[in-house]
Amino acid sequence: MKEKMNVGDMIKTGVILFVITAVLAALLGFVNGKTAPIIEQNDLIKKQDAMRAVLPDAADFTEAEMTDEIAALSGSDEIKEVYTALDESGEVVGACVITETSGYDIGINTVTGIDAELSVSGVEITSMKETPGLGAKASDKSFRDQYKGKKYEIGVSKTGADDTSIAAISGATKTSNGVTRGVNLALKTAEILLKGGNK
Amino acid sequence: MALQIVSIMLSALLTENFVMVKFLGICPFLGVSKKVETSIGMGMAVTFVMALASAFTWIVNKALLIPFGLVYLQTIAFILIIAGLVQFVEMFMKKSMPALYSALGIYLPLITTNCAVLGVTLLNVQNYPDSFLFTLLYGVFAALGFTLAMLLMAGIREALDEESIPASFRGFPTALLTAGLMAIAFMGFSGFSLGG
Amino acid sequence: MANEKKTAASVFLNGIVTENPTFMQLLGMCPTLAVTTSLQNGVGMGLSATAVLICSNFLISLLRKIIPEKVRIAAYIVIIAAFVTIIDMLLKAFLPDLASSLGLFIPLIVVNCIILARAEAFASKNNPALSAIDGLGMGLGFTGALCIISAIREFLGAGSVWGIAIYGTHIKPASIMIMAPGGFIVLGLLVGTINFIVSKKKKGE
Repeated sequence: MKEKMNVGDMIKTGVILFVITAVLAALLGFVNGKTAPIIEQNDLIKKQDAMRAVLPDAADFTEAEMTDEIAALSGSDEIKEVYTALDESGEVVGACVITETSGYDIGINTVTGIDAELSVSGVEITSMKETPGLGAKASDKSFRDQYKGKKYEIGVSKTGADDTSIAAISGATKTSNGVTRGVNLALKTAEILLKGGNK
Repeated sequence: MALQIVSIMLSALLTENFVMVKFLGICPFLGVSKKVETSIGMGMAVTFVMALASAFTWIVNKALLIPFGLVYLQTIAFILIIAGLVQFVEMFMKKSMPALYSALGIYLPLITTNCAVLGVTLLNVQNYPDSFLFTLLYGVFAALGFTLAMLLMAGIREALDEESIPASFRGFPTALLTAGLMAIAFMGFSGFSLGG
Repeated sequence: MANEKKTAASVFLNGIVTENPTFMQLLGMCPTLAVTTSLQNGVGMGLSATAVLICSNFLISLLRKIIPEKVRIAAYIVIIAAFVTIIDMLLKAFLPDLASSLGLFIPLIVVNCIILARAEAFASKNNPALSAIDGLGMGLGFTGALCIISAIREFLGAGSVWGIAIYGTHIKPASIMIMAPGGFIVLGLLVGTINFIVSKKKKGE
């Protein structure tokens, strides 16, 4: 800022900066082209693995249409994806629902597997930002397994689990509520999907 | 809607405090927090830049990056916007608030490399990609949270008598330990919730 | 400093010990505190930053005579941001788990003061080879510091090191150590201890 630049300098500066930026942007475009499909593939594998883990009986998952009825279950777009689970003979054995709910922080991504009797067959948490040591315990198997076999509507209890409710993680009731909300939404979704589709 | 607004404000300010919980903007937090006065100035400058940056990056992301499939250029685009804004704020301050300008000194250009600013823009596109209002709100309140943390810290540091601390622990280590105790206090807010 | 003859070895060691970016220069505090919740995260963050440092130092040094003085900071930032983005993409593609646990702090390497500081203080004045070595030394110094902090925090806070449980079945780990306050406290105690050792050494000389 000491003195005014003359026009020639200014153009030179601009050109040099432009060239640097353009070369780097081209490089980034190239790397992006190479990595984007792999990243997409990774996400797909992760999702498939999670769905297989929550519904071991299923052989194949086909994405079901997000109907208005399903979307209306949640006031704020918490139901992300809905899948119908088929076994080897093509018979419907259940449903998988991917939800994103809020606990202590936003963004608990849950995959819930639901069998044909509309009870939970398994819950996986694919990503969340909860506090390590507290809310993050939601991804522990012992917590997730509490949902197994339960039907709508699952409650959260601070004193201990029973037939219709799960025991909250101590010190992380909000996280427990968030995961449970996702599972309950999944159960409602599966009811619409499976009962509506089978009858 | 109203509930969500209040909840964004509270979480950005307290439960998700940028400095105490998210570890963003630690460098200026430790560097400028020796005096209450400079903390306020720095906080205001950061708030101003963060509000502008939130608004600009939202527009650029929505109008340029997403339609042209250039989301992978997000980091570069955002940091350039921030660098430009800081330059602008610096020139503006130099002219209209010379006293504050000289007080903040070398820390002003450092706002560019304040990860709280880049952090808030990146968090915004992750969390509130569609809502301009929420983006702006989160930007402003995260910055106010940053200012709050810095102000509290400055208050403590001004009152602290370093004579009684072992020489090796004076200054930076003490500041860190103080911040640790403050962070424990801020954990108390984590029970805060608004209905759902 | 400028008159001193710089050898590759001295430049390399400078970053690791004498001018250790974390413990001595106290730069790059945000990632230092935020990602050191487990040793794996610490190493991942350290090596990602090292890769960016080497590349950006090398390129900036290569272009140091071309980049116009007045816009050099902007040029540095663009170069650094480009390398960070590349690392971000590579991590997401090949180490997705690490990428998701470091999350926001990968793109935030852009504003890690260490990288810009080395560009300004070293790469803009020295040749590309030496600059790359400086990047490596500083990067490893940073990585080493992250390793120490994250190992302590993971051990105390999660009862494990590198994800391998050490204790925790009988004694409950102090999970506060892997939460925010633990980061501040561990770093504060470490820096204080290092100050103490350095001052003892100086007295001894």
